Amino acid sequence: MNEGLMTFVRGLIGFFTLLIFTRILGKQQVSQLTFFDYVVGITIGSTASSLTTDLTSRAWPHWVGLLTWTALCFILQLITLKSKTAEKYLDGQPTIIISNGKILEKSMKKFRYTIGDLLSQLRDKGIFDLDDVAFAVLEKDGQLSILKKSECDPVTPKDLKLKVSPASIDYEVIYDGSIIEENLTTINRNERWLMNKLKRQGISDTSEVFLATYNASSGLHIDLYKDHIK
Amino acid sequence: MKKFISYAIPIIALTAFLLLMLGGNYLKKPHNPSEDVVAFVELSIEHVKGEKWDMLHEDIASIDAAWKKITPRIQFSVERDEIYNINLNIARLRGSADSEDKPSALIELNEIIENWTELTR
Repeated sequence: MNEGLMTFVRGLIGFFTLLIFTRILGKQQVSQLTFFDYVVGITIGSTASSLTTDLTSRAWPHWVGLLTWTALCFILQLITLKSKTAEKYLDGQPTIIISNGKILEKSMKKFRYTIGDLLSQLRDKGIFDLDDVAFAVLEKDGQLSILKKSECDPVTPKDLKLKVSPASIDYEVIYDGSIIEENLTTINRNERWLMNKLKRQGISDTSEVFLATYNASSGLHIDLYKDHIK
Repeated sequence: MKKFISYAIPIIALTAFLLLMLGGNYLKKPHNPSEDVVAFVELSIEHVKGEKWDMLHEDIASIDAAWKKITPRIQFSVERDEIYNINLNIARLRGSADSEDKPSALIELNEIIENWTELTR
């Protein structure tokens, strides 16, 4: 019996089981997790950890525990997906904390949300004056969504009736010196076009490039390994 | 093909993990007579009852050798303490044989059988 080897093999089981199970559970961001999701995450992680290091018990019961929590979580996800009522019941719903510029103390008390929390989350959103806020909604995941008063909204090109080029996303065409052919095809360009562009900027080889991105409105952006910063 | 592989990898991995965790019951079975712990223990019980201490010493060596072959196979599907318990039984049995203590030897041998039955259950 080799305890190190036992821990290593059980570590492999725990690690890859956790990886597979979390992939099944989906792509929720940590910031989007509700308190319950957060606790479930901690429990699943803790079970995987016991599976790895608790050699005084078999790996199997821990693995079944892991499977049970993941399965229940998955079932609840499916239920909340299908039923709006279940979603409200299981995940809760957003709560209005500020309405028409007035703080709703009752709502805050109900969710044990303090004025300190409110001011901190407002500052986090770049709001330092309560008078700027028309509505504030405390989301299910504890995030605060804010609607500013109309007079406090920043001016947009639309307000000024300015013509702007349509927004488009960046495509990586070179990363770490390697050309990403797939993205070049997506933007209807080829390697020759890319090399011409690089040559025009005095770059002879893609190995000099750390990152090159293409945006339909702003063109090619190139970042070299040599930054020439003095 | 890509989709098939993306499904196949986790399924194969999970199946391998299940076999590793639950395979102990199969893996503890002797693959040849020299690994048959229970047979050696039963023979030892007979030798203790007949107070054949020299033969018991040989039996203990055989039990120990068989157990050492089984341990690496089952170590991923059992509790560490279950392995320790049988190791301790063998050590105590060796002491009982040296002191020719019949009751104690019988207790240890029966405990080995019980621990063996509980192993991977």
